[in-house]
Amino acid sequence: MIGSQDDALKLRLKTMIIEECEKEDITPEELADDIELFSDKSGLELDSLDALQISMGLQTQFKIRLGDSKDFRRVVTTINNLADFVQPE
Amino acid sequence: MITILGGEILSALGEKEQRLKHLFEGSYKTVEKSMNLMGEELSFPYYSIDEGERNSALSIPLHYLEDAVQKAIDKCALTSEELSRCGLFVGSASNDLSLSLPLGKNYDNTQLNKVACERIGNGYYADHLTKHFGLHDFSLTYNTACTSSANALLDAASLLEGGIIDYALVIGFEMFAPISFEGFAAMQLLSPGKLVPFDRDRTGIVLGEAISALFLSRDDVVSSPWHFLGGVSSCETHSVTGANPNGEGISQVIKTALERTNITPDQICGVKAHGTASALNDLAEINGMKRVFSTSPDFFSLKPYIGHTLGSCGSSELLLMMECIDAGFLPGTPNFKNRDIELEWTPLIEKKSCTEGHFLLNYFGFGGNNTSLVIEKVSS
Amino acid sequence: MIYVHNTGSVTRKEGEELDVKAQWKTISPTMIRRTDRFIQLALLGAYQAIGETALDKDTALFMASGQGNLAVFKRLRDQRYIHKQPPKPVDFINSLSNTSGFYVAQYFDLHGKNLNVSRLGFVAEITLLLAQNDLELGKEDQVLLGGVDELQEPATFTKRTLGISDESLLGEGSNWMLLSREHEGALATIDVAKKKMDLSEVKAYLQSIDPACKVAFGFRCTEPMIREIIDGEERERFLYNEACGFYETETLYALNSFIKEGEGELLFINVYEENFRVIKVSLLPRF
Repeated sequence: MIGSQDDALKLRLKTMIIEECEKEDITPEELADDIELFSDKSGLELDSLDALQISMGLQTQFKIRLGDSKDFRRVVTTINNLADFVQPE
Repeated sequence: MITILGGEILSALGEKEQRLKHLFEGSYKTVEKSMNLMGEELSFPYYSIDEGERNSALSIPLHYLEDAVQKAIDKCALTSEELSRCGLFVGSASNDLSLSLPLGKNYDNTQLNKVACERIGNGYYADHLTKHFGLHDFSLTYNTACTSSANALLDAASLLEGGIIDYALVIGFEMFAPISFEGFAAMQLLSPGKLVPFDRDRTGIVLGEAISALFLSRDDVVSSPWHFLGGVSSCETHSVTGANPNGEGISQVIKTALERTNITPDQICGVKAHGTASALNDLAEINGMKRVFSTSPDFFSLKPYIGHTLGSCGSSELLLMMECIDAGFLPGTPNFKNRDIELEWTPLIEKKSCTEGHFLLNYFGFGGNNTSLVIEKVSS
Repeated sequence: MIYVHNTGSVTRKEGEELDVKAQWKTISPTMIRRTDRFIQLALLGAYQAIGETALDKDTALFMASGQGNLAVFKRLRDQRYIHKQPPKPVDFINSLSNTSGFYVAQYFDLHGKNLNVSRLGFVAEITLLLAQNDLELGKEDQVLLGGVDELQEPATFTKRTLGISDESLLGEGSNWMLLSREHEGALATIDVAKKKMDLSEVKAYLQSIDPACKVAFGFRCTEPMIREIIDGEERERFLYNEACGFYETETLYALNSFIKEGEGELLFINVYEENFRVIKVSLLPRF
């Protein structure tokens, strides 16, 4: 199943992002699948240090290594996009 | 007046003769260090004091420290009576070594083995050196990231001025530490290739190790052609990882350092830049200098020679700069090729003749810690 | 001579609870993310001293610690040696000791000198001496000085690494004071002796001062040692250690407690290995 169709995977990704960025006041349910995570609309207020934390979370929990910030910006856009990258089929 | 008596440095540049040759020619040596990052082998260049493999034990750094200090004592010909009036100021970012080495041996905190029963703490090395060399009881260890030993220099001068001590030994201390090496990799700050400060194609820092031991005094105790005029350390709370790229905090610290030492920007003959080759740090430093200097001063980075030695760069780069000027030149900045249009200003590429004058030294670090120092050399 | 304007302390001893995060969250809900317990302990202590008062932006910040943020090193150690993972960026940044000072400076909007210093013994005494020297030379006008040490479990392991007996009671604390040369409005004066003393010197010094001056001793001073120093003199002791247990920067807790609850003058005597250092505190009349 492609990642964006896999609710369990998306929940794991959201939980990881909230944990890595220590956004304790936000629940995974509040995080929409199609919102740009690093935009103002997400309400997460993420910065470059959060990007590094998420990058590490992807590596340790999902065995996905994103080499640099360019790769990161390409892949970590919305939850749907990230899920598709983690699980292409 | 605070005098700088000189000292010794252990770094990737080797002994003094070899070191001056490198600085004169713009050459350097790196080794490759690998790390296993989540099962993936990665390799980065590194500036190593020596090429041999070392054990990781607390006592290992002590041998290097004792060696550097003994050489510095010999060079300055200090007697044991003089050493008993000498305070100690150790600057290091690597609490990694003093804390994580003993902890690392006790994964579960339960094995109360020999190492575990030893004192742990950032003051470990200073405590040892004070006893070993019979120094004055005043010692402190500074942990302010990349400004550690620059801040140690400032306080050494202050204690000398207050007459609490007559001599000060300032140590910049950074040795290879795995957590630090991997931490910088996790921050994606390590360059896979060369360290190219202020270049359009700069790709990040290359870490290095250095131990420098530098003696200071007052002119009523010992005179020297080198004077430590003073400086300023300040905290910029823009971001925990560094200075504001617009140069606001950096310009403030340079401006205040010059004001407090009564030196005008046009009196500065050379600037030892922090020049880490990280994209934002170099931008912040140039933007900061532009707010103080109307035209580009002669500036250079010593990091392509010894790497970014973190907490050690304060005293290590000061000592290297003094050795160059004593030999009659300001060093060039190796590896620099392409001007960055955003920075506009370019560092000295070739060495330049220089024997005396006023000099500015910049140091910036994590935690928003910015330090600028002003020194002078007069004809002896 | 330097003047103390504000003091603030957070402390607890082995066996007691202290939910630093919950307490700090009520003060600053936004500065919870990325700060670990050690950093929050620093912030909480500094807040007890300063509260909502706006400080001059040039105020210097000297933060001292005997042990440093050991907890973050334990996390990094576990990540590296047990979980075979690289350091998490936030932990890596927090392992740089001056990160605590960064957050304190950010919270109180301070832009002055920001130091993080440590030492195996006398860390508070030497840091106070540094501040006294800077203030007396006019290098600083005001210094916010704090000492922070966090209790590490298991206690037996920590006691051995601290070089204290297994029977001792450990503590932790974050103790802060605002120091300046300004007499107006000050609570007390502090005079840090510039030199270390040996046992006979400290005895002679104690005999030379006003008999009404109280005396307090650091945790490393044993009872036989204290009896030897007092030498049969009738001098009132200020007992502060009931509440605090041992940590390297407890000197600042003793001084802060005296400034808050004591009367008159206090000589604080501490020992490390064979050496003694003393600090004299004199309370100023309060109007």
